[in-house]
Amino acid sequence: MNITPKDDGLLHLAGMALWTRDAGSEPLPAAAMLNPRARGRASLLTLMFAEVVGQAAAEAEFEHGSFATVYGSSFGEMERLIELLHSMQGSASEVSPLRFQTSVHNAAAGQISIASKNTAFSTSIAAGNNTVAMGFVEAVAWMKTYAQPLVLALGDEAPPARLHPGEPYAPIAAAFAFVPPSEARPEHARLQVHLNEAGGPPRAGLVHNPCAVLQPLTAWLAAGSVGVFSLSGAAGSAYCIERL
Amino acid sequence: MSPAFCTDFTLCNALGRSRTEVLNKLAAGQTGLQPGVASASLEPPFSTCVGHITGVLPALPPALATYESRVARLTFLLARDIAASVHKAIARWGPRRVAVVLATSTGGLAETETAHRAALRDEPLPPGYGLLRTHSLAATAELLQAMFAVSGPAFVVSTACSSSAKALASAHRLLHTNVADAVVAGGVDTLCSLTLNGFAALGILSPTMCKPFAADRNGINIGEGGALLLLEREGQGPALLASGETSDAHHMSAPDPTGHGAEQAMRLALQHSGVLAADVGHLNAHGTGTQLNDAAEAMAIARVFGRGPLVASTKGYTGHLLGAAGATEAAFCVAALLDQCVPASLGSEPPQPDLEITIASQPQRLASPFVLSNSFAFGGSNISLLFGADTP
Repeated sequence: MNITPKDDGLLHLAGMALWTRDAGSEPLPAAAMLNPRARGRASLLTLMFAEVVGQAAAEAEFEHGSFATVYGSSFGEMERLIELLHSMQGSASEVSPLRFQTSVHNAAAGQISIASKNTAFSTSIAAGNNTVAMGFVEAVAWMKTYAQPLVLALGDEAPPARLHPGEPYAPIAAAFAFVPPSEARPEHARLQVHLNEAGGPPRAGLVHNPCAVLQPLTAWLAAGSVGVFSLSGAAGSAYCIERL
Repeated sequence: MSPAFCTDFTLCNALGRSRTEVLNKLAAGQTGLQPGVASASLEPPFSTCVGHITGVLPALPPALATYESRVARLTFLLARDIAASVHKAIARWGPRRVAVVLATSTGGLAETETAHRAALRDEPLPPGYGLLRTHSLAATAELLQAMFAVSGPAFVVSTACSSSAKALASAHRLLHTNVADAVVAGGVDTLCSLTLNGFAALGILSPTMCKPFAADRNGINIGEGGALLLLEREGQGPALLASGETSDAHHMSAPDPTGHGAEQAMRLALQHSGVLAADVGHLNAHGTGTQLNDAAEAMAIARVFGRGPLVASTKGYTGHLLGAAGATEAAFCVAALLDQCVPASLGSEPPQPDLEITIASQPQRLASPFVLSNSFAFGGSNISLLFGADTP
């Protein structure tokens, strides 16, 4: 089943960015959207989102503070949450109000909207190992309803080692800037999201970053290939993106 | 937008464990808030009132046992209540056309608090604890997908206190854009230490019953609970007609004192529905009971509606249900349309005299087919949902 019929509601990709911590990368993203004070206080997830949202919006030539945003993260602000749980081992008064208000799942959305004075629609979702796929579904539904510029940002930090005693994995985030059909240019990739009939059971374990598919997805889109890309990996339910 | 018909709904919170119990106590003007916290593991070192669900929540069936957590048990209890209607929808539309859009701000955080304490002591994690199935926000949506054996899109919206209102708006878009034909939508949140201590650290917990819009209001009460609504593309009766969503871009935890973002959210909901402000008869306010929130919201309501709609906050009955507040208050709006009755704004008497809105001091007859519900949140997240008794 297509959820973006070919004659209507395609996603027109006008900008894209990826950040991950690999060999040779800086330990923290520059996150130029945030002022130095906000940058100093921000979690890694918020820094990653600020970096990729800023880059993707700039590439799409979006006006500062005038685009909708959909954020997706499987675990959200885990780093901040663990800091708070540590602080609660002492007296309750040690809970920092600043850290508490930036521990919510939409903390990045709030900080980035404040930094960019963006009063437009924003939402933050989670869908476990299907977070990337569901981010695209939410973006498609919003674009088809309102037809306004939108940035979809997806990512996850590394899991807390104490609560996830498996192999650690790298943090990753990516953003995709979409323009409405009326503003699409020939050079913009035209994407269609599919809910395929043949899906598998969701993965029970947590071997990879839930958003790990962002790296091959952005590489595939950057290569300009035409065809179908599976968002869910070998064993996940089969959500796909087709580039027309 | 095409309407999203609410073909069934249920609730569970401090007022009761079923739709009937909750709505009967709401109509009777009874509060579910109690002084102190009815759980030794949560007892905070400060005075407050809490909306606690009493009694033991039902155990998950063996097939769903890997999702075990208090919030999962609450989700299961709610789903069981509307299971007959959901199965009818599945039979009508097919399992691939039924989506799940839930909301939670805490997920399994209470269990993660326990697991973290164990980890700090170098003890094994509690049996069955796992990040994906216990802690993850998405586990509640996965549980419902598994319970109903549906395979439409499934995700969780988590934008703090606006979460479940935004889940309903997301569900509406899935129906409007033909991604799904039916959506099980709503929100669930349960009490945990971090939430209580975090709001205490912000200095906005009330030591007494909360008093939304009252002159001497002094903060919020936290509660736990949930609501599920079955939304379908075809049906009869109350329907979600439109939503308006904005960001304050002002402060992470304090509302814009001008109420500009809230005002724009309400105006967008009206614009997207085509309903006139003068035709809205009742407004379920976010109305948390803090000085800042209620003042900003009242100003925004007054600019959009004047003194027209009967304004009520239902936080005085249930406490602030955080990620479940929006869906719970949406369910109260649907009930208001069905019963043609506006609940009293419990704790609001006497209201702050200079607020230029009409507070429902007593239950009153609803004389209009349109009602609106506001939800605002950390991060400056604003949403207004507009419901109608029939399609306009």
